[in-house]
Amino acid sequence: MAQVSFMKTITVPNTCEINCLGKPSLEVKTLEAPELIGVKPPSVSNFELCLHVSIGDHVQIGTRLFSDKKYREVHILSPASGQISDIRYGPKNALDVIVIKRDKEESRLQISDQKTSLSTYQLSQVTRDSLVTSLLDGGLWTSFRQFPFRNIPDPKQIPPAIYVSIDQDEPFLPNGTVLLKDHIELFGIGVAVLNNIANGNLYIGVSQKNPRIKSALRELITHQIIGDYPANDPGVFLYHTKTSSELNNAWYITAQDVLRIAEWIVTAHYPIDQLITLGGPGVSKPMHYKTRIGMSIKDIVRETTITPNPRYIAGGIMTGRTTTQDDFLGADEHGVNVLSEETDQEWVPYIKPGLYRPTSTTAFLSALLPIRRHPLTTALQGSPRDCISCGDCMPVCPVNLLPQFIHKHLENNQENLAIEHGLLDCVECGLCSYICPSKIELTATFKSARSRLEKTGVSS
Amino acid sequence: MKKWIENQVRIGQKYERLYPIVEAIFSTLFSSGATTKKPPHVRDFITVKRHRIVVFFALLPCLLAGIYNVGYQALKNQELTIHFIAAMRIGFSAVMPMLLAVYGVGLLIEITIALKKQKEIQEGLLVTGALYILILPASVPVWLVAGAFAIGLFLKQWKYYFHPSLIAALIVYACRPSAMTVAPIWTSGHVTLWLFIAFSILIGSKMISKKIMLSAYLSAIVTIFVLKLFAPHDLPTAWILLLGQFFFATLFIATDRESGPHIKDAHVIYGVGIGVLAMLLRYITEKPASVMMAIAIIQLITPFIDQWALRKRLQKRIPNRIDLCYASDDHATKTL
Ligand code: SF4
Ligand code: SF4
Repeated sequence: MAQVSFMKTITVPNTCEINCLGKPSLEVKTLEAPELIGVKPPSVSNFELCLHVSIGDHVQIGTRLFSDKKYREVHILSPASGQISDIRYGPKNALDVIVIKRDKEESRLQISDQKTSLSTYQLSQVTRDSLVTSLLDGGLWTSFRQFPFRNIPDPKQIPPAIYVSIDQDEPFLPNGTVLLKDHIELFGIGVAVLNNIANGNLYIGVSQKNPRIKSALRELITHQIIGDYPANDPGVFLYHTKTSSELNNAWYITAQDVLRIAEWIVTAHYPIDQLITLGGPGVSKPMHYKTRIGMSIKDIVRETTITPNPRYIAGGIMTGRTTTQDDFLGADEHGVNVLSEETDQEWVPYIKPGLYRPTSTTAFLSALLPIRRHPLTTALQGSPRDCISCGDCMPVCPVNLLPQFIHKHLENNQENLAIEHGLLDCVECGLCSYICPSKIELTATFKSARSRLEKTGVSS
Repeated sequence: MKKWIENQVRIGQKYERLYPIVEAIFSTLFSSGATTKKPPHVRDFITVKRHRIVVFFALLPCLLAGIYNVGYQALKNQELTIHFIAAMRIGFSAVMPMLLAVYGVGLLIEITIALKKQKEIQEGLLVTGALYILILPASVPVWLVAGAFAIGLFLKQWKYYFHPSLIAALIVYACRPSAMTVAPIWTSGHVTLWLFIAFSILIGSKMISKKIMLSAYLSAIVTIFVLKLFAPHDLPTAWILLLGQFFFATLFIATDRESGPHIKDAHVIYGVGIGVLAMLLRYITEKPASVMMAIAIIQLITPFIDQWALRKRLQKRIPNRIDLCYASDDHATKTL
């Protein structure tokens, strides 16, 4: 389908507002780049790494740090100039992070000979192949992800479509309005690049809650999306617009990466900044920050943590990764959220009326009060039980899956049935696990089943 | 102290086999204190215990009213003056042994199963036990009450779509057909008000499906009218039925999420099935227990209704072709 010129509306029926305290304000503060910058490999499963540097090497902004073994043209570039001071490995000896000690005076590697900026007009003259090569050289190919496994796509492929969701409704990631403020034109250039790469099959969605961007980008946006978390997830966007099986292999990219691509095309400089949020009930002043890519968690949270027993999460509170102060934020992680680790125990919580209980169900009296934000914690809130077939997980699944059934099929090793039920459509949003009264780790099971499928195909 | 006991039943420790019992006691007294290990990092406050307790609270006034009713009937039969305390006392002494027996047997079975499987003890008993007592007449001997319940619980382990209280009650009826004609514990004018309160609690907290209730009621009303057209029958009784036995059974038993359809799209058919069949059976057998029988029969075919709804639902999906997901050739051989 060619790009539609008028905006369509998608209403995602099964979504859920997670009313957590610590929503970042729209204020943006710039954080100076610290002494140490860490570069992590992209959080995808198909990236097999080929390291180009070793400890002691000197790198510039734009130096290739590592490449993919399979798609050799796909590189990760250095966002800082300095000396490699450490290379850390994680479980199974997989590369965790390359730590760069920044120079006082940073230098840039001249990657491309493209000196002058390209106007939108010129962009339309450029061939698709040369754009792809440019993005590969610029270290920006890893911004693309391909469904259903959300891995890095083959640069030789032409995508069935590319999806861009401007807003992210997971608590708490950068707000679309903040991201695109003063960057509307740049975003337009990024869209022109994507349009070329996707051969016109470009879908751009914006949340209905973001009217300013909606009107500013009226010409470019194809869909407005109505719904709470995770209505604006590109996977949900895809599910509600797809018309054929082929689209299951569409690509997506975040709005932030669209801007980075545009910046690269316009300036021929490897973009090294990113917009992130620091949020959650565990920080004193939740807000947006403009930072260098690869800041350490410590440098981001600084003295703002107000909880004695914090859990640092790289990414949102529903899908993010638990991390420590010493770790670094990946280029594809756009926020740090801090929650309290709660291990306090309470007497018979299930008997109390629960006027102030945070819940998305109606089983507590709090359902009668107006919605308010709560200082959510990491408490599991209950003990694991067998599935009681309550069906609560069905009406929260944004892609109309029946999590309870898929879980049973996976328990019985019936992967084929799980796929038939739509396992590959799962966007791993976490809502089914969030709502399950039996505290079954549905999302985690689906996630591991999907990555198993990706590696080995269907076994049964 | 609590930590110490918990450590004793950890995997690899001396008393690890007692874990289910310790877990049950602690999780009844305290919130779990566990934290999330995998995303999502936050979880909703809802627990299985909360699910059960809400239904139990809705049921409790009916139980108390039922107990009062037993005493009330006894006093009335003996032509004594009806005094609230006296009625409650008589009611309690009649119903308590049944309750104790049911919960005793139930707990014993649940604990045995949990110890054998080394899994946490499940909370379903709280509601099924009380419900079961309410749908039986007070005159059934305690051994039969407990025995039938035990069978019900075992059947539940084996087959999902059975309501253990319902099955147990049907076993009692089979052993004592006379029980079918005697009014069960809960039936009395006093209970109807409490039933409406229970109804509001359950609908308000969305513990039960509106669709099932509504479709069962509408179809029952239509069936009554149709029956009236073809065979004139005692309409007022049928109307009373809609407020009494039928109300109770649909509210607490038909809407049970485990033994009812698991897919929401099947709710209407299930409800209509119960409404129509209950009225037909009632018309044919003229026994109050026919509503229970109707639900049991429909629950027997519920797996098929569910399957049908599931097929219809899956047909609507755009299938994921896994072979298309592997773009590069080295993966192609791994697909189906
Ligand atoms: S199955 Fe669960 S994790 Fe997957 S999309 Fe549905 S609600 Fe989200
Ligand atoms: S929410 Fe949990 S307990 Fe309820 S049906 Fe889904 S998996 Fe089962």
